[in-house]
Amino acid sequence: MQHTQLSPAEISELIKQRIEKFDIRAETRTEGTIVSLKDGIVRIHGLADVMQGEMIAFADHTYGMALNLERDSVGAVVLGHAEHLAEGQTVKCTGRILEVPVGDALLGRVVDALGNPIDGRGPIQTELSSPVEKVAPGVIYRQPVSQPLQTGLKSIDSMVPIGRGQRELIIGDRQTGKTAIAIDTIINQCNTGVKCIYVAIGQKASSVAAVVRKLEEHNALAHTIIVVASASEAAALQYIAPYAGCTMGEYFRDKGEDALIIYDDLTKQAWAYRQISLLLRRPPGREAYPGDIFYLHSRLLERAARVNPHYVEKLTAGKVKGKTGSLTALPVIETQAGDVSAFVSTNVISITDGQIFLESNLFNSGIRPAINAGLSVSRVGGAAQTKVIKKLGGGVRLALAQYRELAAFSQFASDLDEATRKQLERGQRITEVMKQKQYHPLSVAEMAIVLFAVDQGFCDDIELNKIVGFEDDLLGYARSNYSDFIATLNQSGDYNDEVAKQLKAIVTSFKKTYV
Amino acid sequence: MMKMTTIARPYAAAAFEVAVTHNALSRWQEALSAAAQVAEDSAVTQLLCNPAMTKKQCADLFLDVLAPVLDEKMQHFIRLLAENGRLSALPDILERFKQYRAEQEKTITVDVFSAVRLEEEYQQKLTLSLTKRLGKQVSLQNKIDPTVLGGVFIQAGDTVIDGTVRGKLARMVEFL
Repeated sequence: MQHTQLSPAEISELIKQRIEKFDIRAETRTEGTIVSLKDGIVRIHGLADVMQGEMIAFADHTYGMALNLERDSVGAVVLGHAEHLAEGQTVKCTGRILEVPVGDALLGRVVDALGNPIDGRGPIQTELSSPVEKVAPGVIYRQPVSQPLQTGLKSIDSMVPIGRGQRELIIGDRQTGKTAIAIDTIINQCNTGVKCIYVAIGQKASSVAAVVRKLEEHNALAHTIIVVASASEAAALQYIAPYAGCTMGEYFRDKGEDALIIYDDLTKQAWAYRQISLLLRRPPGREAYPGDIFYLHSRLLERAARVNPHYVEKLTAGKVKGKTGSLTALPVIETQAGDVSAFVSTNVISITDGQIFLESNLFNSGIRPAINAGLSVSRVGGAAQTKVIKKLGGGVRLALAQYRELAAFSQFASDLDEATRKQLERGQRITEVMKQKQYHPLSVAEMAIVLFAVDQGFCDDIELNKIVGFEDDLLGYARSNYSDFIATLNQSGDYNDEVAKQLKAIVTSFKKTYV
Repeated sequence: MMKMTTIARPYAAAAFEVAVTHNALSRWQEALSAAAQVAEDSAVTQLLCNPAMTKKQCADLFLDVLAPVLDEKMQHFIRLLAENGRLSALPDILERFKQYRAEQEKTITVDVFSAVRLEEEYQQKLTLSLTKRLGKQVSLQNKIDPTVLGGVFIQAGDTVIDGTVRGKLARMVEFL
């Protein structure tokens, strides 16, 4: 009979090994006393050698971070709940700047802002840890963004394409589909080798649970790390959660791999930081935010970059050669009543390489994803698009822009000249085609087929309310009859006469069968 | 109660500088210690809080009680404190003064907690090695604390050297 449990002899052997590794020397440390404890902020007397941002150990395995180093006291925030702390207790320095565990073992897990697992699936088996605050790679170590990050959403990949290493802001009012875009992007990275990190800041625990469930349903959880600092957690944890997630993402970037990180959302992190700063008696500025609110976001987003092979080689000590690494960031900002000129919103817009504007009225009129193509921009643009999408998507953006110019005239449809009417109708059809169901990302080839159909006028004779159905049937037809072509096009992404001929063949043969 | 360290510092610094210039550190420390005792007395704290007491009256109270220990400069000091309403900070001023003095003379009092009384020879050895390590003249104070279980717990200001069995057991629990 096979014994799968450890025998007592093996257990005692393991314990003996652990004891031998134990360092029995006396421990030297710096101590201090809690002088006051209020609203999660602890004032400590003593701690002469404490460092800025150092982890401080309180009683009962609670940790804090030293933020205010003043002449006569140290101001620290408690990373967690402070109920069991009391005035007069002793606190110790740990000698370590705040760090979190990193590594491949974190993939597929749900952790809190300090890296402790909260999904009930046991401890995380990793020995590596990395500081939460790190300096972004210097100018010399960066490489221009040239590889596409496919979101699987037609409107984004054709009009505001995202590249690996770019920062693209998703901005909009509440309930406009910001998180939906983020989740669809994660689902689309299933077989691409891109590791994803979803940082939930200040959200309802039920929303995060729903996200985890959806990702699991679509087999996307295995390549994702979920970092949660929900609304009931201490403000300090909501403040450091994005940095912790970024550190976990940098692990992959520095190894020559590609990673994607989504901060949902940075508005709540700004609120948490404002709370901490005001309680630490730092002077409030505009909208009561502290003076370094820009630096809060800029140092976070600068760490999302594409790094060149020299950097990767240096950081892996020569183990990985000739590969670039990247960390793409999709920060989310929630606006109030569409006001993008608020303080934090303008700050983050100026930091990122483009933004995706989502509007409530578009959402309510059925255009989902509710992207305002006129105000959305990607500053990397065509450099990060596959050739086929670049060629076919260019016409789409232009047509939509012209449509918006003429949209006011759509009421007079019958009184207009032929050219204007055609533009209006083309614009309406493109708008219909850009609509996409949630959790249904498309591959490059499928997108190419749809864009080709609408760009070359194959949809012009279809009624407006039948376009969505037409698109579904077209894709179904292509998937069943031309799967080889789709696979090849997904691989290469090239656009040449051969590909154009094939696309035309697919669409025309489908139209013959379409009623 | 929040410590008055921030308020006490400028006064202590000033008093220390004067004491150093006149080479009268011990006398100043004695005077401050006596004044601090007066300030801590419950009857005096009541009087200091009383708004009916004028600043001059507070100063006079201190000067009368402390007349034998105060020289002219010290009297000025007490009057200055009374004028700014900072007589209640005297205990903290004394503490700060002692710290400045310890830094100046490079002395430090180290508390050593042990389960049983340490022998003279052992205390001397500890004093020597601590002097070398901390770079200051160490005066050892041995305190008995049975919870230590074994070994010593050395506290020198903020720095703590934990060589106790209790500490090792705690770390072993965490490690294992």
